[in-house]
Amino acid sequence: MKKVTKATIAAVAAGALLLGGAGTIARWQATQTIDAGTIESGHLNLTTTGTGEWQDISNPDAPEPFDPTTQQLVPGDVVTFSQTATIDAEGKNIAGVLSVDQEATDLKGLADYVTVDLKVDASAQGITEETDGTLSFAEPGTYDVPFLITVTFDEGAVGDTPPSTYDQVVDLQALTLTLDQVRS
Amino acid sequence: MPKPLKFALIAAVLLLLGISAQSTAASWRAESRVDPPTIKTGSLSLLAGGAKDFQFTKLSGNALIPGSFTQAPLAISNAGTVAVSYKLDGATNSLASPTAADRALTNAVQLSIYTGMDQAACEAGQSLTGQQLYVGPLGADASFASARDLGVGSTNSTENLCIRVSILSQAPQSASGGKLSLNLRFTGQQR
Repeated sequence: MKKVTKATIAAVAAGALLLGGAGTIARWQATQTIDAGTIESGHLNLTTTGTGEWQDISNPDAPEPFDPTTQQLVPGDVVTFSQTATIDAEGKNIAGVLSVDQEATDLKGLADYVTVDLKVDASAQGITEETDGTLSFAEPGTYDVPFLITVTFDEGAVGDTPPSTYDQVVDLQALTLTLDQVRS
Repeated sequence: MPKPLKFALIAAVLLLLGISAQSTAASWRAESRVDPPTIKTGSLSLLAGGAKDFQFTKLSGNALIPGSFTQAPLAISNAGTVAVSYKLDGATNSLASPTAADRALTNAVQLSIYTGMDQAACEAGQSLTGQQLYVGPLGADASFASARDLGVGSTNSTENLCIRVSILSQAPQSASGGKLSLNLRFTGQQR
């Protein structure tokens, strides 16, 4: 090997060593943990409380208790079921609208003779009745909203209501209260 | 790929992403099913002699002559779940092809319906006692003066009647040999 070649190889090796050494030169570093605490999401719950109460209001001036386990509806009867729904809303900017879906009620053979109506009471503090019939609230909190189901068996004219309406079950399970969060 | 086409593809992808992001930004919803106990409709059922269409075989008579009668007890009951008001709603000869004698006999018959009479005494053909509900000729318009009330269950849900069919003493000769298939119709209305 020529001297020049040897010298070149040695120079390259020295350079490489120098470069490698440069990487191991440490500089100052400091770390700081920022403690921002924890945050939690809120919630929006809708539950019904109590067992509810049936009443026979066929004579509005003299309402009577109605026991669906032993008593049955006949033409001309009007009975109501009252219960309370509780809205539990938590979150800084929580607001919501409560609406009623009673379209899905399937009355089957009673459809021409029985009507079912579900109304929510807007008188609870913090609840506002909107023009479209929904109820709204604008702040977090717990709201008790009474609601009333009215079942009316039309009286009809004498002999108008056929025997096919005898011993029929009125299924009210499709009545649904829906609570939607809204952003203003 | 030409540049304009690349830009168009990228823009379309961004738009899709935007739309997708929009639809997944759902707010909270809570639902509560109102689930009251089921309720049932009742029924209305008026029975005569314990059946809807009762063959009133006890009320039969052969070779009846003018001035004679046949009578038998009949129970009218409410088997429904609602209180009922009922009344006689016609008493007719139901023969399909009545002869002249049959028609003459129909016109020469008097129907009497009483309530409150002892059933055994009624069956024994004793004199009618109790409250008179109807006395008169047969006809589609034969009815009680006022409807009778029947309760539900074990509370006054049955009324025992005594039914008498008499051949008028002045029945014409043309009624002899006539037949009568009496059809009593009672109608109940929910009270």
